[in-house]
Amino acid sequence: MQQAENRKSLESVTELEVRYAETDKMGVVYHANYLVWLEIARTKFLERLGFPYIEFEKQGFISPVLSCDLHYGRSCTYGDTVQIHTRVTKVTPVRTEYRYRLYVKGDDVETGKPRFTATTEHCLVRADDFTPVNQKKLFPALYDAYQHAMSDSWDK
Amino acid sequence: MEGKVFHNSVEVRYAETDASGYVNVVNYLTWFDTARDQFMIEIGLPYSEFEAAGYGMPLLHYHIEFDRPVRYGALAHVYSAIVSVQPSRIVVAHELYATNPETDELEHACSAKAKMAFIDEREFKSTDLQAGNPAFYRKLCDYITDEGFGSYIGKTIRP
Repeated sequence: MQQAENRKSLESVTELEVRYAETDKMGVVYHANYLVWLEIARTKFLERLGFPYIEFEKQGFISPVLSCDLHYGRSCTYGDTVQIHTRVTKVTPVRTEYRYRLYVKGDDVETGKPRFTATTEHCLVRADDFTPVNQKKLFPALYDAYQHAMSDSWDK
Repeated sequence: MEGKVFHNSVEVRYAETDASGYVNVVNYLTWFDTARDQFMIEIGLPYSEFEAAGYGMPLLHYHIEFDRPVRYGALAHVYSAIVSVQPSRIVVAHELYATNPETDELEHACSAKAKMAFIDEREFKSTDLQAGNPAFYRKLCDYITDEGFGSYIGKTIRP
């Protein structure tokens, strides 16, 4: 794993093109698909942080979601390119909180309302028996990188 | 208990699992969606009829808490209830249980609450269902169930 980026808060932006298969009969992106997009956004965030998620899996750990809070605004449609701004907003030895704001490319990020916002909480568990582990003890470099990359939530 | 708790069972499909060896949680959202579809039929207001009348019911807010993971080979049970109806929105709660194929016991997998808007599907704008279609509105209101149904379910289905 590479050295974490500079010791300043990190916001990653993941860009995705809406696939036709992600839309539904209403003509908009089906609500469940946003959850998959968040997974891609987290993977990107961890990569930027210098800790690719695949490395945890290779070592026998997985990072399940504990909770998610999803707020849907104006819909996204086919033809849109979405940009997911991603931050880590809280870290404890057993829990990591991510927050996301999703815009459609071309939306005004400064003044416009996001199309979708979310918070998700994750832990790290052993893949074989789902036992939660202490990430501060087991992955101190990751824990340290999180501490430095952490941001305020946008609401504050 | 007032209201009604609807039940659906889901046989986990292989396609719903991921590399972790368990069901990918994104599938819970489609199970819940299917459960809502099913109870709409049960109460005599199929979603297709609701749509044909010009209405839609998109998600506004979803809060989901995950407990035990669901495995391939499990039979999942979705318990759903309408917990609030307002002129332009509805809240449905879901409790998900699944058998653990190793122990054959039912385990709590997930609790969720979905808030949806009633919209005029042509304009894609929030609409007052109570004013626009009082019969539809009343049908939904007839099934409002106490939010505590989750713990009630937990006690009922656990040995």
